[in-house]
Amino acid sequence: MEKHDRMVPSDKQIRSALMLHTEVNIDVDRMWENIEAKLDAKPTRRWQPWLGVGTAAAVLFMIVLLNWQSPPHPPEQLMTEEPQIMRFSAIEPLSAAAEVVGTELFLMLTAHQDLEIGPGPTVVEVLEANTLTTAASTATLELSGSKLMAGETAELRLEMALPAKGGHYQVRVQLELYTAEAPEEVSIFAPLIMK
Amino acid sequence: MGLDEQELIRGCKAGDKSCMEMLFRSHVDSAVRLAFSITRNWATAEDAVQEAFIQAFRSIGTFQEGKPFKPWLAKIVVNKSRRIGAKFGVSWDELDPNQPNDTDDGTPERLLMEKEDKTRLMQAINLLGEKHRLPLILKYLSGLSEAETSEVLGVPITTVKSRLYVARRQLAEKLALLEGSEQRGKA
Repeated sequence: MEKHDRMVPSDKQIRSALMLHTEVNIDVDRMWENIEAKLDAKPTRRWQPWLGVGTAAAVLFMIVLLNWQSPPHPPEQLMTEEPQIMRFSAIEPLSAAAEVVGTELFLMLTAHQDLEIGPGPTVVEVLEANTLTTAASTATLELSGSKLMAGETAELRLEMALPAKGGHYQVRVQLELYTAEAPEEVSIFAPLIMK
Repeated sequence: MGLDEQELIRGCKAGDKSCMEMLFRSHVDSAVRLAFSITRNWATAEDAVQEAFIQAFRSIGTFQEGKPFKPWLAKIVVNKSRRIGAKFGVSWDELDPNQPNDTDDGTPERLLMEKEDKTRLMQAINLLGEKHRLPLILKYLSGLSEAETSEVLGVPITTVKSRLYVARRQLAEKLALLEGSEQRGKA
């Protein structure tokens, strides 16, 4: 232990070793040319071009649906949990909306800032609205590397077992995001009404 | 340079390419060193830094004026390097402590010994786990303060302090091990 104490390197030694072994060996001019070219190019959109139209249609559909059919009043417990879910949606760089189309879960992910989905799997889960326990099977998506610009929406159709019983549910989407700030694991929620 | 960093940032926000270039040139060296120390590969480090600058300039509108640019950029570089490093399966933890150093260039004996010491110390740094190595790199290589390091890593400043303390203790242990194995090799 005493020997180890003697070998604790000084700040100067650590700095000097790191500087020596990371001596920059790159062509800065070429790098800048590449960056400039990419900045001039339009950002890559990996999502289909009709997404904007689809999103607008889906939002309109949701508005009509919510105004047309007055859903049954949620249980008391849901009312207490709703603000928490709203808060999640407000601060996350990504928000979600979900609905059932035929036998599929139709999921819309909207970016509120430029972001990229991290390397981990994206996990989609349908939860009981009042207990937030799993109500149906879980689906895993491979979205790593997908990029969304601020305001852009990705539409996904998932074939997964959905709850057989009608009522209110929450869809939880867990994924890793890379934003300008940092990588972060996020869980976003979207209400789901099963008829 | 003429313009200070905050003026350059304002220029970047206004889409001025010459400001972007000046900001790039003043930070690229440090960014590449940081990326290289994570990816251990020049080409990968270069890719990570290019991506980091593109992301930084695209989202410069979200950068809070008045704050230093370096920690913000460092955070992006760390994220990009980790992601690209993970994609190509680079793991520092698998580094060979006996990996030969390619920087020997026939300097006088004393300088050579100093260089050998630095090489051994670098090998010891490479043997640290990422949790302890990254704060060390951000503090000593990127020159960030402990507060800035805590911001980059997203951990409290007390955690940074304790990780730096542990890192240095572990460096002493690794150095002792490396020295021991060298002596056994000579015997």
